[in-house]
Amino acid sequence: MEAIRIFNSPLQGTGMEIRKPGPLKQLNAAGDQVFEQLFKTHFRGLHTYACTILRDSHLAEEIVQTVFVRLYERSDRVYIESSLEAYLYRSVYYESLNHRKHEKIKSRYLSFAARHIDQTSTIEQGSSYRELEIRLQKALEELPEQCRTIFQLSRFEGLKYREIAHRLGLSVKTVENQMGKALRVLRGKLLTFLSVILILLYTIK
Amino acid sequence: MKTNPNPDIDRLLVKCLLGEATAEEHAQVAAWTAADQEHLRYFEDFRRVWEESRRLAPAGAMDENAAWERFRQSERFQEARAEKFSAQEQEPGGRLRIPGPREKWALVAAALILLAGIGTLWLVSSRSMKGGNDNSLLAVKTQALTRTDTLPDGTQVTLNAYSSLVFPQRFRNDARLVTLKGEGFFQVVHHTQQPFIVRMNGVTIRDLGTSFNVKSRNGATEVIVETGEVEVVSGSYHVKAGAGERVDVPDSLTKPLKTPSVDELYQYYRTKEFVCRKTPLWKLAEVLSEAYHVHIVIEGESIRELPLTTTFSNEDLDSILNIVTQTFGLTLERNGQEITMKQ
Repeated sequence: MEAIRIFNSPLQGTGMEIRKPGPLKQLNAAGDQVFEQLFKTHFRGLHTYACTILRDSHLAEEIVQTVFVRLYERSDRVYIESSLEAYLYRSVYYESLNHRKHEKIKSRYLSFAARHIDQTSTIEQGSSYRELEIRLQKALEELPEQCRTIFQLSRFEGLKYREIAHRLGLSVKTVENQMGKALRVLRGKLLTFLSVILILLYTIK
Repeated sequence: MKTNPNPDIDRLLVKCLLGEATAEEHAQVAAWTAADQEHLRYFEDFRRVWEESRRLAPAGAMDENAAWERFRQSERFQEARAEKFSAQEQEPGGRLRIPGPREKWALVAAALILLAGIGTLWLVSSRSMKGGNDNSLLAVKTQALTRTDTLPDGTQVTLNAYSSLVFPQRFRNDARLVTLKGEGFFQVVHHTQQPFIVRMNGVTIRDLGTSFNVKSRNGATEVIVETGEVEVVSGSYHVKAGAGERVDVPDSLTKPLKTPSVDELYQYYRTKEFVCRKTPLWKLAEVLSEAYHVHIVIEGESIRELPLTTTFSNEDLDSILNIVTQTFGLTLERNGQEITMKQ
């Protein structure tokens, strides 16, 4: 499976259209067995990724299915340079964001957020924590794709830098820089809330 | 907030947080945080963000084996499989490839039919060893020429050139589901208990006793109802349309837009006639471009809207273009597939 390579270009993502006839022959001739293995190997991580973005397990599964159907359809004419995993994560990321753009999902999300604010609004501390959570979710969404994916693998899959670099076909230094950037951006967006939390913490103490 | 004098410090701070830092890097960070109270706070913010972010972890992972089974049996994957096996045969000189015995899935029946003079059509039947007969899907694909077929339920389908239709060998009892790419006209034998459903671009078109035309153009879906009624479902939107109405869905999940159907031009591939009723020149040019695989450009805004009322029956492109240009006193330039009309 390591031999499978996908094109590493900005074309990737949802609008990917690559004409080069290329390998991924394994998916073709050796057929569905390889594909099944691919699916099973990557399903959990990808599903978790879609879940953190969409907060809906069922919808997340649909997103992952969409990405795999597309991979299956295009397997005979897609080159995978860098890594297959990077390609899959990137696809899930863009597909999830696309879904979020849709009004219905947006409103469902907003009502989810509103519900949570309501539930906790009586307890001030809880409310701040909830709000921080929602802010955090929003801030995460504003990270660029690569940065977001690296953060995902580190935070929610608990992978070491070296492992992340290996899976995404990047250097460890890139992973280090992107993680530094992720935290810097998140801190910047959450600054006011962080100070609220800190004050609360000191008052409790 | 102080601006950070050391742009590389973020990278080091996060490394320390995650236990990825070397002893030397730890020392560097310690020195940096000790130098200024603001630095320490900055580092604490990082820690805070990192810790808080864990709250966003989704609860409970899904089992990949169960997920695979759901995926394997999903219609979208089944359709992709049927499509793929039919598409493989499109390659020039290609032979029907039947997966080897080691494969989990076996292609059980396959037929390759070449219809000289009508166009080329491939019928491929595949079925999974696990799934049994009911999962069998057929794919019909057209090349340069159109084709009319009758589906297992008696519904008549006319496919425009370069289109494909995937349908099951045996329809389910509760619904007749087909998937279309390109363009097709459906004359449906209506059964209330077993609605006929066309899927395209993530849009669902359900017949309510009907004949209708469905077309895909750059991801947009266009439905024109000739008789009866259809229901178009896109995302959470449902729109019903009757005879003489058209529904446009710009993108999957977007809201369908219903308007009166203004002309019959779209029927050309079925009737072999171009029917123009006060049809603007640009629209005729668009349809001709598509029908004859050429690129017709109209130069000059003033002539784009010129209305034409006539019917071209079984005429070739050159004679149609001649009639049009003579009617409006336009000049015509042709360079292979590139055709320009101007004043």
